[in-house]
Order: sequence, then structure tokens, then C-alpha cells
Amino acid sequence: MKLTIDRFEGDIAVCEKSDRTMLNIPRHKLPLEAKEGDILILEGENITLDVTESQKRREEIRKRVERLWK
Amino acid sequence: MKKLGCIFALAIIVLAAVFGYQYWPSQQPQSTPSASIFQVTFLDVGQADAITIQSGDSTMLIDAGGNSTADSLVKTLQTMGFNKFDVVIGTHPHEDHIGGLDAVINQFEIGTIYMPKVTATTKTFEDVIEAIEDKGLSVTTPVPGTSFNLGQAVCTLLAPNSQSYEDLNNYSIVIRIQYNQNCFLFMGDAETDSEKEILAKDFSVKADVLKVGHHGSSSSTSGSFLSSVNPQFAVIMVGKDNDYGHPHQETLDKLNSAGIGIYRTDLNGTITFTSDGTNLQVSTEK
Repeated sequence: MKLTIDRFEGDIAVCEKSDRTMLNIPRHKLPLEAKEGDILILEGENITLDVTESQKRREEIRKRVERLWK
Repeated sequence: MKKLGCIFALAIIVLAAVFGYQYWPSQQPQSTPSASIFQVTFLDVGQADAITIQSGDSTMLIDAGGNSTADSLVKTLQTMGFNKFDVVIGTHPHEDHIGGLDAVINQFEIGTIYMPKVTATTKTFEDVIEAIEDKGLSVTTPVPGTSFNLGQAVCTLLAPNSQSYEDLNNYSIVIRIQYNQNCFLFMGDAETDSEKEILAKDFSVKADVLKVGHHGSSSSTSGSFLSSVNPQFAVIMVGKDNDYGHPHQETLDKLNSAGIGIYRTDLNGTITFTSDGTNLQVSTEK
């Protein structure tokens, strides 16, 4: 399952699932370098960072909002 | 026969009532807001923010709760009599502030949308962009120090003051709204870094009511900022038994020792302040 880190609330990472429901994960279970906006891969108890997908997603959104702000 | 006649007459009355109600809607009582009303409502949307401001016929929404309450928020706003928002503010693109924003944009007539110029990678954020694009709207970048009117109230933007921050919370739009002699300060999730910048800019922050930053987290509401705001009331928007320990005791202690009246959406439910320009009246759901 893929997750997006929406935010950190203290020691908890609040992650968005693909159905837009939210999942709280203790920060220590995440890779150390994980930051807001990163995409995670959750396989059983194992959580890894999807570096390629995270970059792709940032670029995708950046292009999408180019003309959004006045 | 007499009994039958009675039933017949009763049926006509019932039918007339039902059809009269359906076909002459103009005769229904209208919830037209009074031109002089100024009301701020902190909606109980759990561990999230959603605030409405009604200033005469003008309306504003600050944040729209999380994803899970999007549908119920729309219903609540409709029940309250809103059909448009002249100004919509998405303080910053975290799910607990913009989760229901796409639903609101889709369901209501929308005027100006303010959001800080920063993006998130969530589907939640993408939904908001899509709703804005679908309606052919654009987003206005908040410029601190600038003001606009909402009815007879004056709204002044106070933050964000930097181009980039490490934490999305500090991008929060901070807005102070003055209605005659009453003032409200809405902090979003702005943390102490943003508070320092606001004070350094020498913006007027004094307010009667402070919407406490970041759900009462200790990351916000520094002592120096609180003493500059010097509010009579503080509102903390927080979910019952939330996983984050909000509001933090440190924040509650600061507010209590300053003798500030605390209202919390987890304890008081939806909280409404009404101002006549001089006096404030507070009513709570619980």
C-alpha cells in the first residue's frame, strides 16, 4: 500500500491513504529521512520511502498549480 | 357521512398544506441575514479547523475541516443558511484544514480564495486544485499588511511573511478581523517562527478573541506573542481524545495564568461569538 505523508504532529506521521482516509503512524517506524509530502510504501510492518514516486509527484503538482495563483 | 366529510375536509387541509409549502416557496420564511449582524462561528469538526464569519450580508470561511467531515460540513453550512462565501481562506494545505475545501467550493458560490503559495502532494490538495479549476476560479496570494473589507468589518492579513519555511504550518495565513471595537485573530497552525515575524513587522495583533495556533500545540503561542495579543477569550479547535495530546498543557497553563477564558471545540462543541460592535456574546453547543 502507498501512503503520502500529510504532516507530522509531534512523534506521529499523519498519512493519507489512496482512498483519502488518514492513518497515524509513529514517526520511529518511518525511514529517518522521511519528510512531509513524501510517498511511502507500506508492506506488512515494513515501511520504505518511494524516492522516485515522491519526486514525480512533487513535479506533477508543481506543474499543475503553475497558473493557479494570481 | 359526517365522519367521512370530516376526513375529506382534513385531507384537503393536509394536501393544501403540503402543496402550498412545495409550490409557493417564496412564502417560506427566509433566513436573510440582518445587515448589522457580526458573527464568528468555530465549528466542531473534530481535530481540525473550520470557521465561518458573517458580517452583514458578507460571508467568509476560514478552513474547511478534514476529509472525513467534508459532507457533514457542507450540510451544516447549508443548515446555517449559507449559500455563498465571498472570501474563502485555506490557511495552509494540511488535510485537517483543507480536507473539506473541495466539497465547499463545489457546493457553494465562491468569491475570492486566499491560500499561501505552497503545495502539498496529497490527493486532498489535488482535489482542492481540481475544484478551483473546475469552477474557473484562481487563488489570491496573501500579502501581509494588506486589508480588505468584509461588510463593515476590516480584515488584515498578517502572515505568512517569508517565502519558504521548513514546516508547512508556518505558511499559515494569519488574519485579524476588526468589527468596530471588537477584534478577532485567526492563527491557522502558525508556529512561533511566524509569530516572531509578525511581531517584528510591528503589525497590530491586539484582539478580544484569539483562535489559538495549531490546536493548542506547544509549537505555537509563545509568551511574548500572547501578551501582545492580550485576548479576553481563546478558542482551541481540537478533537476529543486526539492522538497528538492537543491542546498541550504548556499552552493551557499560559492561557490560564493570563486569566484568559478558554473555549474548546472538544468540550464546548461549536462556539459562536456575536458582536454588536462593542460587546461580545458567546454561545456554545455544549
